[in-house]
Amino acid sequence: MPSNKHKHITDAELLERHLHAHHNEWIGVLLERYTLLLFGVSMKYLKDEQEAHDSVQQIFLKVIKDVHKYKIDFFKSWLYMVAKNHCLTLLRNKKQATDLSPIYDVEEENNELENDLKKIEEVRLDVLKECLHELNEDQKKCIILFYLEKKSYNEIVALTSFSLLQVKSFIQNGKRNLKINILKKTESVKR
Amino acid sequence: MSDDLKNILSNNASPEKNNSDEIRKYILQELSNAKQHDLEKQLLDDDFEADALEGLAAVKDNQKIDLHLYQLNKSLKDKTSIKKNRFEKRKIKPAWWLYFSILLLLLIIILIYFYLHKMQW
Repeated sequence: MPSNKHKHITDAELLERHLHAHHNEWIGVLLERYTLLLFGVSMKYLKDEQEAHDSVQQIFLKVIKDVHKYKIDFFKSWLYMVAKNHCLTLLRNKKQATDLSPIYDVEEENNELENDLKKIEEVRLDVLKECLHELNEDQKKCIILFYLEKKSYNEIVALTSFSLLQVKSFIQNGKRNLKINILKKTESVKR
Repeated sequence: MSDDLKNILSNNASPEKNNSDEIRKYILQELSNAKQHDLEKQLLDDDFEADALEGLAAVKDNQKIDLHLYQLNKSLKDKTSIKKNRFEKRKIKPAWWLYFSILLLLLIIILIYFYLHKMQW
């Protein structure tokens, strides 16, 4: 686990210190905060512990080499993009994934959705309830258990007949559909 | 109730927040149900951490995660503090016992010198 010695220094400050230093100590402190997340992301894509381990080391080197080249507003978001792209490149090189669409599409899609949501200044509660009831039964059930009854995934699995993956998927898709439906309703009201 | 409903639409992701410690505890099943729920809610809006949790859950032996972390962090430290290490290697550590022995030896030589000269006088 990362040492607590530099815990009070923010990511942005560590990055700033690194950019003005003639050694790699600060970027080392910063990267150490993300070792677990990088290993997890690499595991998700590569599905092999040793490959994920090697991938994290390559990402470290890539970041140390490239961090000066970009203007980085949020290190965490930038690092995620670097890590994801690195893993996808490894997969492409192995020719195991021939039909991987570029991740930028997904990122842009998510950003668009978030931007749309920012346009809604205040969502009326009755609209929210109406949209919640329009979700399919499984998504509605999981959303209510998760957000209103504050149950964890494991508790929802125990309370329903769904698997952990299904619960995650119903909550994620339910939330997404809810946002889309609210957006549609809000825009139709504005017109 | 109405706040809980509106929470569904809120975005809990923060580009500055790092939940690595909680994610590790989640994987090692060291979190209470309430804390699991809090983390799961935050991760719904944070693709980086959600992907990481999904990947870590795929590691067959949870205890090995700490071993990977230790090795990766050690290798990172080796890479990022090379200059410091070299500098430290070049530095000569003070060997106080050696200085003391030399001083003692010099003192004995001086005493012997005076003793012999005194004998001659």
